[in-house]
Amino acid sequence: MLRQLARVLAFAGAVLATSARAEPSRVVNIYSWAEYFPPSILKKFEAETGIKVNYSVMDSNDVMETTLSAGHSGFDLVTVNASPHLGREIPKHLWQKLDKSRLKNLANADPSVMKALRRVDPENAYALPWMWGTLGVMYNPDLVRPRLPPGPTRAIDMVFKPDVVARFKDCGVTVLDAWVDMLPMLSAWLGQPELSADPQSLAALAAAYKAIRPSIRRVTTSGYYQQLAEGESCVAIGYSGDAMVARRLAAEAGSGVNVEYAYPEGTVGIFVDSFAIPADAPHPDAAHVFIDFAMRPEIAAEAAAYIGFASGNAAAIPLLDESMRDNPAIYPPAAVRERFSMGRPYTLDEERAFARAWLRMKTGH
Amino acid sequence: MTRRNPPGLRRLAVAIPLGWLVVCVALPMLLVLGLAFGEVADRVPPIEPLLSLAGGRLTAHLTLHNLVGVAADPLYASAFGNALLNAVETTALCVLIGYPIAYAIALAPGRQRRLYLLLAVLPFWTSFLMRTYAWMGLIRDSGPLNHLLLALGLVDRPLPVLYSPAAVLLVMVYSYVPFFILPMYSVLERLPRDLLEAGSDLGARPAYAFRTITLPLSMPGLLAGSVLVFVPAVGEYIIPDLVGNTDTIMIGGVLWTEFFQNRDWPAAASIAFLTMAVLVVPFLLLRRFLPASRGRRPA
Amino acid sequence: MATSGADGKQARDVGGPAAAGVAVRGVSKAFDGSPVLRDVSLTIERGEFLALLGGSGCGKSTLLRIIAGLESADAGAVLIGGVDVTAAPPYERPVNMMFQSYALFPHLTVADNVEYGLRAAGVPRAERAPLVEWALRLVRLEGLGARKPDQLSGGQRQRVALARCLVKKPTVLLLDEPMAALDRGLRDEMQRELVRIQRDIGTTFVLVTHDQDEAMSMADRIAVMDAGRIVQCGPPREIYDHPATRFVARFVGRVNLFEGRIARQQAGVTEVGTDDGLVIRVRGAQAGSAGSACTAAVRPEQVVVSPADTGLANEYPGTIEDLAYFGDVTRATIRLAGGRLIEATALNLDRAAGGAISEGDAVHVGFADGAPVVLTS
Repeated sequence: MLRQLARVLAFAGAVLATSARAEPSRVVNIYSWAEYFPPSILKKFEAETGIKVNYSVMDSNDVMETTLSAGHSGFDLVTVNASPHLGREIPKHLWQKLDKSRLKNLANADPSVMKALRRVDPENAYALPWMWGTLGVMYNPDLVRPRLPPGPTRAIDMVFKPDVVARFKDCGVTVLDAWVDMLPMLSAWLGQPELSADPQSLAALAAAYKAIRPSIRRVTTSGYYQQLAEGESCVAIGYSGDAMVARRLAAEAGSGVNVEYAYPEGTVGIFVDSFAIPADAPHPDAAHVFIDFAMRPEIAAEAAAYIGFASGNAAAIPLLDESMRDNPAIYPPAAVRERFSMGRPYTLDEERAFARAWLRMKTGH
Repeated sequence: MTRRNPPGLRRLAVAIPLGWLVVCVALPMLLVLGLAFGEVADRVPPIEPLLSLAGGRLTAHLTLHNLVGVAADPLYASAFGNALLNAVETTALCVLIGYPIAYAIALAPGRQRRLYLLLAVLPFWTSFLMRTYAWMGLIRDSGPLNHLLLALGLVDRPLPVLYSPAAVLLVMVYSYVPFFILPMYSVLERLPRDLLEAGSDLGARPAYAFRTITLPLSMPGLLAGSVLVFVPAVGEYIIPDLVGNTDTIMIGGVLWTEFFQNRDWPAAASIAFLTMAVLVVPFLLLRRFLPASRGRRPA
Repeated sequence: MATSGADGKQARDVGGPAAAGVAVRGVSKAFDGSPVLRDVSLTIERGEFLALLGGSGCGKSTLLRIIAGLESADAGAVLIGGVDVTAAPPYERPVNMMFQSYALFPHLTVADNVEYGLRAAGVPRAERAPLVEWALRLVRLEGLGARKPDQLSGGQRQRVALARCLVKKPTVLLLDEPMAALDRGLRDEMQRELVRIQRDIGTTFVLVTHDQDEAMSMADRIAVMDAGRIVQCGPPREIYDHPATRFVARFVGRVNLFEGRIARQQAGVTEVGTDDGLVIRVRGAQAGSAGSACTAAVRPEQVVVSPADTGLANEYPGTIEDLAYFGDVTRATIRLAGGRLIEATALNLDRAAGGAISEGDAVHVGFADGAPVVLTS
């Protein structure tokens, strides 16, 4: 009864608030990864605001970019990958600035993630973090430990140092098939100040990869965590969220496989799936209503618990279950957060040079 | 109704297939060819307009740079070589495996024949990806294949079949062999039995009769089936991506990367165009071969 | 004829010339449980032209295919040139078969078709060319060697099929309904041609046909088959004049059958009494005692029709029911007083004689006591 009343009042309020300008939107078209919003919160949103959610599943940021570039996509709200996609798309006017006056819960956004986002969106004008994660080294300690060289070994060296990674060749090493992730990491490991497309630095990257290539069993972005969970590989470069999935898979299968997740000792790459509103969104007002709703601590916490990724909402973290909240693989300690790094926006020529360089490196050309 | 063949209707009957060919074959191919001469740009679509009209001047932005670059780059050459070799091996194995199967089906009694044919095409009823994933499960380190090998004592540690060129070939042959069996079967099934009897009667042992009668007369089916396997096999990129490793990089995968990841449409179009140019050769060979066995002149 | 052992047919040189020929001993065959051949035995002499004659489904083609080795017998044996080839595959038998469809290899030229059997047998190239030339000349196809089968007429294709068999110089040539696909004029020509070739080369021919005229005109001997058995085997004249059974009498030529019983035998004449009260006098003693069932068979051309008395040993009054004019002969159907119909044919020797008898006329029909054959089965 009360809820119904609230809905009527909210509706009336919305009508009053917007009637002077335009009809309030009754619908919001969301374009995002499958199950990136638990059905329960979508239902709650529809019940509370009377705005219907049309959810379209996105299958890659590249396809999303093509779709938005063509114009008239009809989408109001997208969860876009911050680097390189958002970074290169802002200058192309694919996104509109957020109206922060409508976002009461703006302050809940995690400051360290907001800081990382400034690398591609210098004034935090276009995007807010929804979910994020880090890039790190996953490994099976039971397989790795007997093969480790004597003395301490840095996690990142388990993949990038030729004589170390060679020790894991027989138990399986995989790396990600994405230059965006691999090249900055390798560049940082080599001590280059920044990933650069000049031929000399690219040659140095190629030489470094060539030395470890014989020990790499697979270059892939999909399914590598499954292999790890099944004990078919022992070391992998991967996303923190996938490390959690690998752990869960191993536990469900009762295989007794342990999966550890370690941060690189240098800079730590992060990815951020951010809320952003396309420049030609038909219902930007409804998109703002949705963002503000999703930025509520309890809603963000519900989603983070459901998805298992790190929430971009700092106020939601205390509401989470202890095992999740205190998991350093999901929510890194402050020392790691200081090393967060995100790629700057690259030019088209740079991106192409990186992509070709990676293609050559991984195929051994 | 005095005219039996209204010329308008006849013209329409010609125009429909012609229109289809123009709209669905010729135009896209011209588009690809045009793109191959285009210049990359950081815009939408990511290419300079091939022709532009500004200030009363018609300017064409065409460059040979892409085609030459693709043709000269050893990476593409090697990816193409890989794809070609893989397609040749796939086709050869499909012939070696598919021919006896098609032959056995064609010789089977009527009712069994229908069952066998159904079994041969049954895999099509499930998703191609599902079947590929099923293979991945079978040949992975802890899968049934390695369990068996270990249990038999043939190997003392799992054989790394998955993510190897052998796995690519295995799944390719598995996926493509029905495309060979069907045309092969339809030709073998129509092969007159009395020709083989005549051969045997004239003193031909089974192997000799096969070589001199069955094989030459079933050549159209063998060629049609081989082309049906070979052409898509050259462009295949999903199977090498799923079960292969970086040593099995194929031209299809490179094309995909250039188009979707690099947004370099001219390079992708150049790869597509050059690949097509090489693939046309077997078709021409086929056309040269077929009239000899099919052309029927009245006595 | 014993050219060489090089063509790989093991059975070829075994057995002396006297033994050359085909012997079928007690062969039975069933398809899906229904018998097609029942204990068939047959001996074909070397150089003989034998016709297997019978209606469709009588087993004649199956017997031919068993001789060729294309079917295996369920029981019995096949000997060729005195050698048991029952278990030998077709490619090891010194026989060749001309298929009803001709079964020419469409992808090979005429010359290559003819050469095929020689190549398969490993005959050296130098020996093959003159043999092919000889065979093509034999069937009068010189100069057409480079053509493909689909560039030939039906008759030419048949000649290629024949040459392809003959070039192998088989001990026995099997012909399966070779004329079936030819039109009438061509058929007569090919029949004469086949007989000529058979005389020239002296090979044993076994011809399967359902056409009695073909069998009669071509064969030295005819084996009439019915329901998986050979019911009579003999020269055409014997088959026609002395059919062994009612089936043979009816199948080969036309016949009037009088079913009845032997009434008495005396003074070299047998009298057969029919159920409708006729008495048929047949010269000579017949097997079977008085009272035993039999059938008297009389060919229509032996029956004389006359407005007056014929003066023959068997004579009955009747009425012309029907007259059919065929040009060379006229066939009359006469109804006897008892209601029985009798067929009579007469040569039209005299143009002026036409119209001497017309339908509805009362006539006498008669035949000599030497005309009927008494059949007991």
